[in-house]
Amino acid sequence: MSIIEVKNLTKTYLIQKRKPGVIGALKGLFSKEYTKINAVNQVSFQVEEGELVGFLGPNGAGKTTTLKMLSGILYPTLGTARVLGFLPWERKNEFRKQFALVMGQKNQLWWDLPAQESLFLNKEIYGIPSSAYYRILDEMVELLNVKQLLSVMVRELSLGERMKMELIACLLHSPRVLFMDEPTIGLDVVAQKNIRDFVQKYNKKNKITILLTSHYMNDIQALCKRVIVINYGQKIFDGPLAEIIEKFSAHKLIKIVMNNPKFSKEQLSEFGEIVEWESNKIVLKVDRNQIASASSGLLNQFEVSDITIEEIPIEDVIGEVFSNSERHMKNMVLGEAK
Amino acid sequence: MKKYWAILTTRTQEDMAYRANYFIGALFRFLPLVTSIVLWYAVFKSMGGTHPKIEGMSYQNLIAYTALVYISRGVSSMPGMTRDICNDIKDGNLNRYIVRPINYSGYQIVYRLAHKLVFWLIAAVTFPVIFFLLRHDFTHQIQPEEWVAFIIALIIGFWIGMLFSLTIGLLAFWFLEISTFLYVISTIEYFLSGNLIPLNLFGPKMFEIVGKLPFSYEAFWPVLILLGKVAQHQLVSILLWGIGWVFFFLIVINILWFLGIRRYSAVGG
Repeated sequence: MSIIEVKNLTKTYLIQKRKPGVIGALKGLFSKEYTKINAVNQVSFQVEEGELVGFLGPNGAGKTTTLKMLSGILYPTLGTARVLGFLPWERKNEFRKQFALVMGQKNQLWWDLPAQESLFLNKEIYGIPSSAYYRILDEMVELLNVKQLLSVMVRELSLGERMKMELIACLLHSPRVLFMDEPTIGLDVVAQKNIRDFVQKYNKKNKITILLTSHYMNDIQALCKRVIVINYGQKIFDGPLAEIIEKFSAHKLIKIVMNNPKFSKEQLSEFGEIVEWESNKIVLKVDRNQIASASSGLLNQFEVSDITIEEIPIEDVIGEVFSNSERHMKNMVLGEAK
Repeated sequence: MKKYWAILTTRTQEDMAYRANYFIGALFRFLPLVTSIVLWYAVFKSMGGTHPKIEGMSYQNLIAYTALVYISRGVSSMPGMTRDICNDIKDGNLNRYIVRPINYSGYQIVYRLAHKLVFWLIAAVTFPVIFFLLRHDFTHQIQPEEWVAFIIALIIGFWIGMLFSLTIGLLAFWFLEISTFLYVISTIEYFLSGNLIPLNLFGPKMFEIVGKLPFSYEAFWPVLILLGKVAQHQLVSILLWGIGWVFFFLIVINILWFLGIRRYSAVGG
């Protein structure tokens, strides 16, 4: 049995519509208009024990809403989900003791007390035996290098340090499932990497199942073999990260360095779209099927000192996926309207 | 229970971080008492006569009442509780409680209880000074059964204050912006609890009603019992009525939570 099973999960919000201006506000007092928003629409997937799955989508795609339903914070409008065999929104204590939710924009630490007090409070809330508590705490402060910060007031910690403490607070009870919503948001690159490395090590060591959302592709690339992409509340891809590129990117990049500056834009355009041009360094976007012929053509026709063939950066592919699905959804809406 | 004890001790530590603020608060809490004394003095002086009384209460009774109200309100008032709960719901902070194996209402109750304990720790220094200064106004010889009833009434007042704040706070599931409503409610609560003037001064007909409302246990009844103004045969029925209110709010809170959490939209990342 999968550790997370999601079937046709749907969350619909009724959003009050208000016409602009003072007159709109006055009208709103007497008659309220509502519109239905499908934040999550018939999403289904399964996650096996120990998997680290990336959850991708632009802002408002429905990622966080899905995580909130899987954590039992929200009730779904339709569909169902089981996490560790439990219906999350029943919020049974046996369930809540086996999972954790890390939210990059919210924290559970007590602002005016040293972090160790919040951690000890979690020990009691989750009923962690003292021996296990101190063993896990030692292990994690070591891994995250925050031993000396345990006795510092939370309000005096940096954002990155706070996130590290937050992670410890969420992992003290050794959850089997961890939902992470933008854990690296707002952090500098060093702090982002620290958190990433920690998650990677922790996942490997403890075989914990992790569902992670992030806008930073570095996080996803470093951590997740599998990604689920959603947009407009609908799942549009589920599979290995590398497959996204194959499936959604019809092009590759050919980077060439010329020996001889005697070449024109027109000549190069025959092989593909010029995306970069810097003195004798050129980057061409070429159709996947034409890569071999384009490379040999370039080598034959010009004095090339270096040539490399690369995949389009994952950020660009994902951006393309999002905008394609946006167009697709708009077409669907227009089709329905007609 | 261990987890709630941990919440209590953690919260106490947090409050102690601002002990100077608390101490000043507890010290100057009595400042309005001076105004009340001046006011009642002026009222009684204008009435003339040798031993004037208002609804059976002498000048000394009213000064003692006003001073004792600080004790009952010190137990029953929950400053900021309703607003904090509203904000938790409105800003999505409730999420961090829902995902952990704790009961949100239980958490709030213990959190406030800890706040009260710190308040009383500091008030233990300031209150005796005030009562020593006003010792001549306490003319009634308090009977043992009145002490017992007073303590029970205080406990009822504590629970009603707590549960009423929780009830109003949970309304934020339905009405996200209720700051004006909170202001109106707190003014009504302040007035109908007998904080400003004893409820029996409202006249017999009004008193019939306001004396039965839950707010009356937050200030009025505990003090009236201690002043010896409640007949012995009435004590039990008054206390039982108050306990009834406690159960009423417990039921209402459970219903509000059950329905509200299904509407909760958990805004914010």
